[in-house]
Amino acid sequence: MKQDAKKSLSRRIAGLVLLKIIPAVLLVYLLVFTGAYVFSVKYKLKQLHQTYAPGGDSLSYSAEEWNLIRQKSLLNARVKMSDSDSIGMTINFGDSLVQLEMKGVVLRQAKFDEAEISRFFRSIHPAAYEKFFSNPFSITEIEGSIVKEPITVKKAPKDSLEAAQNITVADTSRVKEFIEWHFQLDSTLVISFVQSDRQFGKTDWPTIQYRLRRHSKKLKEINQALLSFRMPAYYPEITVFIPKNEAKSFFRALPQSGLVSLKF
Amino acid sequence: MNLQNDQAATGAEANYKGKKREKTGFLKKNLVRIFAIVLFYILFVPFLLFATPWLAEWFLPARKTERQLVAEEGKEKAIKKLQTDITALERKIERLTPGNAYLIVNTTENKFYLYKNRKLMREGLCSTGSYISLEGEGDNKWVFKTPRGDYRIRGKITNPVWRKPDWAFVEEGLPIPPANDPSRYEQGVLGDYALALGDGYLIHGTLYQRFLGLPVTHGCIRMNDADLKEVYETLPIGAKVFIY
Repeated sequence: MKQDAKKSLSRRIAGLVLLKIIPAVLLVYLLVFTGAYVFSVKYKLKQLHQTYAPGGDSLSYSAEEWNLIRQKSLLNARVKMSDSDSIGMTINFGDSLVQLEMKGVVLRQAKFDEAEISRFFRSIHPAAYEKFFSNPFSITEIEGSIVKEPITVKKAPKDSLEAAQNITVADTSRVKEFIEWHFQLDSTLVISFVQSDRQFGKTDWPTIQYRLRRHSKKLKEINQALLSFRMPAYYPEITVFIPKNEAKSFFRALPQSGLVSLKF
Repeated sequence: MNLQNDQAATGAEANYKGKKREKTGFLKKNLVRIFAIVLFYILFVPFLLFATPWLAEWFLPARKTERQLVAEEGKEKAIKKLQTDITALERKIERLTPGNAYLIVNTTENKFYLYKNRKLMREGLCSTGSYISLEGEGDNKWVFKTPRGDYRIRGKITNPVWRKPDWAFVEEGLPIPPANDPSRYEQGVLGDYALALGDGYLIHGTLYQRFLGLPVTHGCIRMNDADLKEVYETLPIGAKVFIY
């Protein structure tokens, strides 16, 4: 009888914890998280406007003028990017075009059909836009579901007999690899590339691992900020869907601290 | 004794059935609540990661220009200036592309693109670095990768002879001979032509044409005979080679 009562009590406590206390705590956390995030987004936009258009932007722009401002900003950024010795990238969301460039020479060009652009970019005033996007951004972090340099370590054979036996076989373990990667620019914005042709590869384990790594890092950063009563960092994000071979070539070609020019 | 046992057994059974009924009743009564809480647990992290940013961005104001897309008076001058600036910048960028011949090599796909007068003359398969890191005795280590960047053609050679570097012997498990030992020189393995890029890197032919399109070289760029001939004839010394 005593045992039954003990069991029933522990069941009740477990039910209370699982069905009431934890959901309540998570709900409060969710509200705090969402609230802080809303403020963080607004703060980021305000900060950007204060930095790049401190006097405010009371002018109104015609569609033609606005289009020309964006075009000029991109060209300015590309000219500045051409001074660099390394490979850079230009993403033109107006023409749905991604290209690799080196010293102004276009090395590769790819059209994309689909892109998810954060609403943040549509809220930037033209005066701030012109200053913000007239310079190329620097890559501060780049990571993907594949390695940047697929290095295979091989021990030197002891003699010619061992060398003859050491036939290198091509690594086919990830023939159907799924290409997904992202870079962070000047610790301000994030651009992700995802392969658009899904029939040539499913989301495999390395891709899931990459996503988990990325999302857990983001959650960790926000949690740390919330626990220390700071505003969480917000990175407006863009996702570009391009063919697999393009996504792979762009990822492998871009250097760790390469430059990127953008046009929205 | 038997009767007592039977009674005890029936009592235990009734007790068990009662508890089971109680449990089922609790589940039936709270099914919606339990389902909602389980769903909440499942959707918690995806909500934080995806729905929260979307919700937060939803509160942002739309840009002024999207509401006021009407041309105003006195804007013609500003538009004209913008157009002039754009033309000047476009010319500046256009001038950066070499007018003469140049070569682009994609090391990920192992393809090359030969341009002349800003037009694509030829494209095809090539082979670039294998990304094998060969570890020899002691600290000896060689990484076989084609360097990325912009290079120039520094020399053009017909009927090149390969001077085998140390790694070629280490890879074959052979002792490394002295610097100018005759065993270091091999004829006919680099094809009919070679174009030097500096630091020992060459664009040359290959005996292993079946590997074209694959990353199998020690850092050089290999091409088939016909492609190599056209590249050799088109690119003068000093021509640019972009490798990415």
